[in-house]
Amino acid sequence: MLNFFNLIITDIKISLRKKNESIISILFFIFSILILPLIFQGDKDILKRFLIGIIWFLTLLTIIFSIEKLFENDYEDGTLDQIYISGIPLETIFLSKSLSVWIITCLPIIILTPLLILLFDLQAEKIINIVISLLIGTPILCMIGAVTSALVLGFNKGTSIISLITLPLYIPVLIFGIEASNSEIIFNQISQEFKILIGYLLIVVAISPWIGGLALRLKYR
Amino acid sequence: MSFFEIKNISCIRGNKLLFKNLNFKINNKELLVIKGANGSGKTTLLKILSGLLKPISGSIIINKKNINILKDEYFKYFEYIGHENAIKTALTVRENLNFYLKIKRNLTTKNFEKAIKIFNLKDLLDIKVENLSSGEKRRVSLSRLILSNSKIWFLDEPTNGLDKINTVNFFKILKQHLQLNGLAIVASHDDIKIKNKNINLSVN
Repeated sequence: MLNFFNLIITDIKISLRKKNESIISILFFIFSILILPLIFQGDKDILKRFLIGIIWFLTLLTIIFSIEKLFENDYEDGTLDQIYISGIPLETIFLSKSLSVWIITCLPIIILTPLLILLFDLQAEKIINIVISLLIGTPILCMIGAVTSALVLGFNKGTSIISLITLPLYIPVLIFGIEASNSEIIFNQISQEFKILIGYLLIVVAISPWIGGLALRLKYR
Repeated sequence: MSFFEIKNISCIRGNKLLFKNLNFKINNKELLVIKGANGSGKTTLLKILSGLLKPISGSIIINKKNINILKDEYFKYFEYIGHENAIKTALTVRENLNFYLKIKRNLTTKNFEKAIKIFNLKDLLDIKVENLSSGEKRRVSLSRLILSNSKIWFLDEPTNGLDKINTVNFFKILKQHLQLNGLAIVASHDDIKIKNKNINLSVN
């Protein structure tokens, strides 16, 4: 358990030092949202209707950009080998990497989203919905991305095909994430979309470490 | 009975047979040097010995136990310095060493000062690795050997990037390790002056 946190802390420290790389994906997200009024020519109604979908789509793109080479640096500089022979299970390595990329990329997005949305006069309760659905949905996106990254590790050819194969797995998160963000929370009643999203999260949390660990293990055969 | 033994190890990488039925034994205080041209499989053999790759056949025996039975326990027996330095350029030398001290069970803080002194890293400790020369990076990587209390050293071109003085210094350290009942298996193109067994891998 201690090793799990050591790996995460080191990853966060490295990404904070490599400011350019980590900030660029967040800047991409912010600027993309800020230029939306230009794209919709100031039509607030259309913008409001599509805003949530756009936020989810941009979140997905930001995660895909940041997660593509999640294990690559460690693999190429020999660190992954050293972590592996330190006896830390590959599943733990996978989980720590997924969590660190979530902290580095998704947490700033989740914090920034309400502030950015305020610029577009969206209802306060929708903002809460978006934040909660992002909190549930982004770990799913990160874990699917991390599995893809583990699968393509060390392959020079066919990486785009493997990336395409896992692409459909993101789509339910987008569909239910957007629906959950738009759904109405009536007192303590959780909407169906939130339940499905939570269900998907639990499945991904339960399965992805094993698939990710297995994909990494293929490199050590 | 030797402390470390490999029996009939064969390896194919990318449809290419690298070696077939390779056997050797090595005991305390002994050094085995793996020689061979580029592409002959020296790095692959070291990776197999350190459990990073699996051979297609054969077995590795340490202290009378097969490493497949030992599983993760095997990792504490050795320290592996690969072709890559396995250090993070965004971190300082101290942070890199501390990272490994935290995650590797075979490393101990007890020898931290000694490692710094031997590899002359005192002035580099709080400098980011990205600002170091390739020889300095190699010294940081090699300093893990001193931190380690493992009996076996697996070293892949350990003197890569080192200048003459540091190369001589490194071989002194290797000799001391062997005198203290250690074992080492080194893939190297250097002319090693320490008494050693050697195997020569051919490209075909």
